[in-house]
Amino acid sequence: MKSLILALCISVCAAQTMAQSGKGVVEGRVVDVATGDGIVGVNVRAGSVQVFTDSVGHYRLPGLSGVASIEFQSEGFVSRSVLVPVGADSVHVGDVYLSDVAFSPLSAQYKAYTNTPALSVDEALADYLAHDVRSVRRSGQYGIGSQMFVRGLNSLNANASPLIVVDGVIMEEFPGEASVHGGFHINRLLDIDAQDIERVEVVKDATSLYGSKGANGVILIYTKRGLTDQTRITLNASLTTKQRPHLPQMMNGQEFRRYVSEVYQGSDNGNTAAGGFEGLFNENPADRSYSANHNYTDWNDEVYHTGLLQRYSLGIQGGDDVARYNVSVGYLNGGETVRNVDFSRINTRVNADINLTKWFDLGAEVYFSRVERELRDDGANAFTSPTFTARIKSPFFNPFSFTDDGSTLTRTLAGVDALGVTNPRALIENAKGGHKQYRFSINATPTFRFGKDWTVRGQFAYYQDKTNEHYFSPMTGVTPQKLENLGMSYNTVKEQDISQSSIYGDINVGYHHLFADSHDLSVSLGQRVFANSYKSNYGEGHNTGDDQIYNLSTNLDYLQTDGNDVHWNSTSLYLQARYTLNNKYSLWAVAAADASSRFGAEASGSFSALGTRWALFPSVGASWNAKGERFLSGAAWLDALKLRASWGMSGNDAIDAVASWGYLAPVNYAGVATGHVISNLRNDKLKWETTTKLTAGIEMAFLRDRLSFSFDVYRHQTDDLLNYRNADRLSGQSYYLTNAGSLKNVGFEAQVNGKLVATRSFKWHMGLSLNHYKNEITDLPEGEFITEVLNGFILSRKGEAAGVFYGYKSAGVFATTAEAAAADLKVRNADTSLSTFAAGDIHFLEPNAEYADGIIDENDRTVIGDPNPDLTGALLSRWQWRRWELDLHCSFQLGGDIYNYQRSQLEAMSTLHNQSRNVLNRWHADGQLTDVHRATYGDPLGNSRFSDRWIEDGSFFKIRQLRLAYNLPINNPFIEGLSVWAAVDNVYTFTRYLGADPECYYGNSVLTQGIDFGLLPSCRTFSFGVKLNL
Amino acid sequence: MKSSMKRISKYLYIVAGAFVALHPLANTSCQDAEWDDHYSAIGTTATSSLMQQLRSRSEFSDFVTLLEQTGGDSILAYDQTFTVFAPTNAALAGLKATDGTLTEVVKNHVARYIYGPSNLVDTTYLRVKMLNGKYQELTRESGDVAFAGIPLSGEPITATNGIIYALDRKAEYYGNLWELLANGTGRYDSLYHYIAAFNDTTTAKSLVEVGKNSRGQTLYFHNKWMQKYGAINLEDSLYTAFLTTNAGWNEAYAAISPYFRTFGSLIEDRTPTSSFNYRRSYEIGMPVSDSLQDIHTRETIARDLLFRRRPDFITPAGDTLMTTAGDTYHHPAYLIEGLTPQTASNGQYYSVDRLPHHAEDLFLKPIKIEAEKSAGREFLYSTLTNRNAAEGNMRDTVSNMNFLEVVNTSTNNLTPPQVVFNIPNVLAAKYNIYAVFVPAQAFDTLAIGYRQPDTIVCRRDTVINRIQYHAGDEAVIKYPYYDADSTKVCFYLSYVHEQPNSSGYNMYRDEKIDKDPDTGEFFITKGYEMTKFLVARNFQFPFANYTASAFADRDAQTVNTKICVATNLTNTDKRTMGYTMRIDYLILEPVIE
Repeated sequence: MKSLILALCISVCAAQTMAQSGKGVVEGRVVDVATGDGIVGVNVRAGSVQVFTDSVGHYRLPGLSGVASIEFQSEGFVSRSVLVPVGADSVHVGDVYLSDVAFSPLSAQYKAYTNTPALSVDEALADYLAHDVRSVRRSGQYGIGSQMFVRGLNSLNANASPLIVVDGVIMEEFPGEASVHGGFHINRLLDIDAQDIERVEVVKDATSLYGSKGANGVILIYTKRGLTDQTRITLNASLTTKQRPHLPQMMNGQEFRRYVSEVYQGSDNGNTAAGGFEGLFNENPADRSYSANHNYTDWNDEVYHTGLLQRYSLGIQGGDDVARYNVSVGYLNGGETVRNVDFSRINTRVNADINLTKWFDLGAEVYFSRVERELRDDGANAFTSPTFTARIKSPFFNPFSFTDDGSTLTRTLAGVDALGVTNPRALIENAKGGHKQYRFSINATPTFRFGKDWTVRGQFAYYQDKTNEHYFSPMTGVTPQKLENLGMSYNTVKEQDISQSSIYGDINVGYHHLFADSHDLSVSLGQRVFANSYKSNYGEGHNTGDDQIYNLSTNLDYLQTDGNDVHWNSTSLYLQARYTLNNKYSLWAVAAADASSRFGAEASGSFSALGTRWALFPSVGASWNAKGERFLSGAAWLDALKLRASWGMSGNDAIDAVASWGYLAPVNYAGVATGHVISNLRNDKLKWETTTKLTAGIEMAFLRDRLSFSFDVYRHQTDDLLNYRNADRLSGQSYYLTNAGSLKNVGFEAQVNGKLVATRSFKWHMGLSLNHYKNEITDLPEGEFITEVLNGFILSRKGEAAGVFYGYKSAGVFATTAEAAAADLKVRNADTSLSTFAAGDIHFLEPNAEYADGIIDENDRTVIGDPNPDLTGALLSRWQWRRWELDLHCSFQLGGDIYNYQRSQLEAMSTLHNQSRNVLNRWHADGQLTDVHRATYGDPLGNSRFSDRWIEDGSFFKIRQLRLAYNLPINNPFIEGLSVWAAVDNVYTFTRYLGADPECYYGNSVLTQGIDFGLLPSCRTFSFGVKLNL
Repeated sequence: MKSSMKRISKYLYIVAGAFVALHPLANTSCQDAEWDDHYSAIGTTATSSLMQQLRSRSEFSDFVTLLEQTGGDSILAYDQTFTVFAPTNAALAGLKATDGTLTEVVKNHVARYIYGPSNLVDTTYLRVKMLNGKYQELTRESGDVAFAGIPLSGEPITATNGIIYALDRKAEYYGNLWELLANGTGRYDSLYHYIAAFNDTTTAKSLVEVGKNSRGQTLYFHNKWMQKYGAINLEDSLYTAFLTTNAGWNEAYAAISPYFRTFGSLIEDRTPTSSFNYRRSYEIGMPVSDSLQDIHTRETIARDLLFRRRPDFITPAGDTLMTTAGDTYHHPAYLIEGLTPQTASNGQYYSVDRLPHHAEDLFLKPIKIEAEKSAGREFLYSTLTNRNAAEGNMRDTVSNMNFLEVVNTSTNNLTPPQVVFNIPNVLAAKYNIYAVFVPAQAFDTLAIGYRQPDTIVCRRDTVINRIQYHAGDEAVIKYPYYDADSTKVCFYLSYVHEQPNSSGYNMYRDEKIDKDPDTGEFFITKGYEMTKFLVARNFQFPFANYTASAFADRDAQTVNTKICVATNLTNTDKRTMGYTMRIDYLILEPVIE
């Protein structure tokens, strides 16, 4: 491959040399696309020749030949380059239009990370880079972040999120890390304040620069640095209120009491007695149990309120010839829309760039952040989630208890009610959910320059994360939980400490030279070293005996401890080379050789060198700027036409650090001794997943750059998928990790950017992106496997996409006994007897002909949904009128099924929990036409099983943000600018989805996308902010 | 201007193009509307209540009137779900509301929950609890569903709080067994009063609330007899009962009470610990004896009258039926000969003028004393060991697979090893008394059941009692088991005797029984097989010594019937026999005349 590239270079060089003849002059004018006025001071450069435009935007470039690539650069405008064929005479080029940098909505380098309610970088990406990164918000909680994917799903069991690189340093994210708080995700990206971001780049194509870490794409984040000598002070302050979410409509007390009296039929209480009917259903107001059972409580009022978030930041930029700096400090503090759940962050960053000598620069960064949260369990957890228990709690109970004679309401919290449901208010008031997250990092980047062409650049960083979590769910008012094989838990204490540190080093030698004004060659060779350590301690205990005692101690029941102390290292040798001819033809090649302590000692496809195993990841690419060709130079309607293609391999090394090792873990023997048992089977062949990417793209611009268009197609093939294989029983392990199987992603990305109106006082720019991928598992040598998640089944099968739902197909509810008898379907009970589906039950289908035996069992499952969307995209629009700016951000998804787990819990009608008002349509008697089955306690026939009833179309069009800003006309020597802004986030969602938010993700695995666990949805927020520039 | 218009229109095309690209999203509609659809009534879901539905139909006007007159309409307005089996006007023809109408008619046609054919797919029969607490049957026969035997015809009517089925006939109302006993117009007074005497209240939560005590605690009905033999006051379980009329009761009383004749309170106890030769005196003709006799007699009459569910008397499984007291009838068809069952809400009953069964079959039972059981056992001049016969070839022969080994602690003929067994629950009846002994090999598999010479000369390698002897050795071997294999025994009976003296009825030990009453032979146990001795034939106990009552105070009487087993070796016997006794059990078999 390398020799081929070399041969190409040589032949192109030779052709170019022969074509050269004479020198010419190029002249023209640079014009602002919005106003039509000439722009002064634009840097116009062609090879080694550069000039600046004059007061009317005119320039004159002498001494050019061949096809000159002329670049136009000016602060505040999007840079452009134009190819001009130059003969011996002077050439007059038509007006070159530059557009305001703020008006490229779909630019990956969009600078508007300030003035937004986005708290963390991943939230900002979801807002601004929806076309590059598919972001799915994990929940509506402040700063919880998004599950991000770049171009499909490139793994099944390993992490499939892109690599994050902050100011050149790889950031370890630990996506598999579990929090002690239900429904919460430890988001390390929250440590980076979105307002500190200068720009973000997304590497999507086939480059192998990041070797075994880059298979899922790379997000390069650059924080703000001192740009000019001028001291600039920026103050931001904003206030955000958050509305309570859009909640399912639950039955009122009257409807629910009827429901309970119906479903009670199959419960133990209902069978034996009137007991319940004397308490819950007592209709005599004089009875002492009456008042406790006849209330009108809106439980949502007990758990939700309007959240309020305040946020301040200060940025100082400045410096002189020698040193430039950027210092930022941020603070925010706010209450979530769930009561007693709050969040605060303090962060500070110092970035400095020092020119010590002509040949030596030093960049330095110091960063610290602290995030503190108070949390409560979230999601459809019927025991300890205040929000979900507020849904299933009957409205006729009261959060407080009455005196024994029922006459007086006390201020004592009510206990678990007669139906066994938690008092949500008890969780809000007495549960504890501490989460603290600290991050400290230092980063130094020395750069040595030798002559004009040679550079040696180093990057040395150290960062440390510490996380501490404390969890306590109280016993008063909270339903006791049965712990598998242990006993009853009345209250629970959990404690977790995580300490993680990384040392990162990268040193490279670069060479860059422009030969004969047309042959641009750059080569760099370097090595990265990355050493990490991760320690965690986890402790859990139950039954403190009192809610005033909420700390871990040896006196608790069922004590469990866990912990990790792992270290892993990796290194990468990389070489990248780029050759560009006349800015028209560009060829590049990148290769990385990686070694990692995560790989097995005998990993196939690796080679041995320097005492360890190495994996090689090559890539090549080419681009062609066709507008520079003579046959297009006359096409005035076409401003740009670029074609590009690349091929490359990259890896995914997100394997547990010790997965390839055989190791022992201690076990306690009868409380008297500690022994060790095998905990993992050694697999010397364990290796990275390899993704081979093939991409091609085209970029076009028309109408003086006012309409631009890009289209990319790609095909990703991932081999050696990490999979769990069943282990020999004699080993004592049920499975071990191995590499087997492959999948592919084929898709396209299209973008259209339009500057629809651009006049002096009014501008309207729009951007639209459409992304599509099709994922398919192409090989699974171990055969298909089923992953069980929240009563649902996820199938991994050759020929299917990753994460497809595997359940039962239904055909409505049997309206009559005759219909049910005609179908004559049964289920087999645990005691092997058969029960028959009757009128009022769901008509489940038997789609697999060979299992059409009249018995509905697991053989009748089939693929009932695919969570992978058919199309995702974003629609961004910006209007500017005089000093007003209005921004609109929309995102949308077409297709992509959702397993609405929360709805399956609220419409199953098998428990004494309150249900959604949809169940008022439940079947009651023969002949009733409805699609809601009858209510049966315990659901013996499995009407609420994982079926297409709970699978919904997740298509949506979401107006994500509407923001209005006004720049005040200030004429003050001290105040440079003052702007006020107001924004509404999560304005409205158009969807048919019946959950609160079609944007949902459960867990952090590829296989669990499209599952709605009922986490806090994205709520509508109203923000108001001020930005002051001094 | 023109050109700018042109430009704008061009841009509009671009915008339109963008939206065309998005047109599939037109599919997504407004979420609020979607939610409203999802949460509102669909299909044929009812929107009016049960009372509204009933009132809107003229065929139920009489039932509606009854509901309104009895307050039943306010019950149907509760926030609960009901199934109403509504009798049509034709079914209620001529019915006037009275005090009992609410319970016997209205509540007899309304059940909580939803019932219908869906409950009968896997069964043909379902008991539906009505609001009056009674159960009615919902049955299915080849697709046709009937309530209380009345076919359900026509479509059910759905309402927001339940469903309605039309009934062409009124469902019958039946009392439960307890109500029948109580309201039997005196027919069953004796039986009723006997059971009602156990009526009590408790604060422990149970099903029937009867009021509150002075501290405001809820009190619940409690009846110890019903708790033990069957809650015939509740509707939840089904029973078949033989309800004995007063005449039958009196006749049974006369027949059974003699068996429970007993004595009064203990006056004096003079038991010497050196011999366990009990000497006790009891009062004559005191109220204690009369009341115990009465209690035991009545308890015996009433305890075997109930069966669970509706048993098959003609061909029961295993030819036996068990009463709720746990007693068993063999070939019970005779019990219902000439009788017709009658319906109660919680089962069926036979009204009988005499006890259908021979009471003796059920209460005059063999009394078996396993010797290895230590309760009520005393011993002298011996050490006792419980032996297990599981390893030997007599494991299936030895009762309970265990026996008692009694080893002497002296060889004095005046102090022979002896064991005294309590014999509880003896009735004033005739018994044949047996004692069963076990040979040594039941426990020691090496023991040989006949006498061996004291010395042997080993000719080859020989193993005796796990010791290896070599050829030419001459050994004098003591075989402890051999000597004890056989022994000679005797028995003593202690009981309260009929002939009173000045101090009352007396308990004392009769003369030694050392010979078989039939053959006159001494009681010598066999060394190689089980030995069963007849100790006494047709032995009449003058008094019952009954302590097994489920209700009477267990300490009312001590056990006053005892059998002592002792060795009976003469000096001559000692040469050939040992002292060790291995007792399996004693058994008293009643003599039915």
